[in-house]
Amino acid sequence: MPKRDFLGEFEHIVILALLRLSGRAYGVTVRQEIQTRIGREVSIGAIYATLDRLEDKGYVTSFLGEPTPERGGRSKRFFRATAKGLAAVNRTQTAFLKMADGLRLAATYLQ
Amino acid sequence: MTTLGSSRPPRLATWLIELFVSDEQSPSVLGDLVEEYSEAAAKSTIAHARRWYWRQALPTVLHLLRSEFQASPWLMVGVVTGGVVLGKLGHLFINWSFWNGFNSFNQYVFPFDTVNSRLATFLINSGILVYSLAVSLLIGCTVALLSKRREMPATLALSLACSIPVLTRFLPSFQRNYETFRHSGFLLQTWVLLYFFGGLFALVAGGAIVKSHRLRSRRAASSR
Repeated sequence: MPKRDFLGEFEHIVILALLRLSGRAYGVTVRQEIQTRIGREVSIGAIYATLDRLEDKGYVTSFLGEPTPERGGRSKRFFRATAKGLAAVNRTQTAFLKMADGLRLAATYLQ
Repeated sequence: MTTLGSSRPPRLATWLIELFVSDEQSPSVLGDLVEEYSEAAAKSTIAHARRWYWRQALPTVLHLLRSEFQASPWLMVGVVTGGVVLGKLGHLFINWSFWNGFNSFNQYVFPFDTVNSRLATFLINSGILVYSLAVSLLIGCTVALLSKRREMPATLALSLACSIPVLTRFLPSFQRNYETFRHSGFLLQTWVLLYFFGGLFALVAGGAIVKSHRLRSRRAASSR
């Protein structure tokens, strides 16, 4: 298995947000989804930096929408997870579950 | 199609983001920020929306800057190395040309021997300062032009690299002369700081000038 096959924590969160939003995932909705679900306020720059990195790795693709007046005539850039991205999410998720299997995390923390 | 509501996001913050964001990311990043700014202004007050915009703008600049460094590390190394070599040549040129020019000027036009020597020293030092700032600005512009549309990351990286020798000169001198510095007036303190760090800012200003000029040309071309 190649060394960089697992997703980083924030990469993992961002791809899960893309999967939840399906066809309507762009900077604003991804940021708001993360904030609503896990209460973590992130900057739009952090979202784009991560999405660009994921796109370079082939885990997501993007396409431009139509320019809209409420955005000052600028286009939305929509993102979608690829099959490779989905496989990376599954691999990372499985790795977490395997590592956590059998651990009583709450009890360990309290000791 | 460029209509927006009555309130506009802070111009300075938008300009900062435009400087640091890449050409490909610019419409989507700024569009997202404007969209959320309008939502925030509609839900709450404009002051709140403006604060939110600034809170987004500064980390956004830092994140995008970091990703630009990571995306093209070798270009950055090349640009910084080239910039440092240019800086060294520029420094030699400053010394050579300033003193040559000054000597001819002094000999034929303005005999400094007759003027108060402290005023003469001040004028010479100010001349060197202005001249070296202009050369740094020129180096910043050159590096920005060579940076393949990564003007701000390239000039910032160069400025950071150059700050190491500057700090190694400044800190011991500052430590030695701290009391004198503390009791000197604001003007002299500013002058000293400008003398040491002005060149670093001029390098980044060179990048900002080139990028702003490129953005203006692109806007003019797209509006035609």
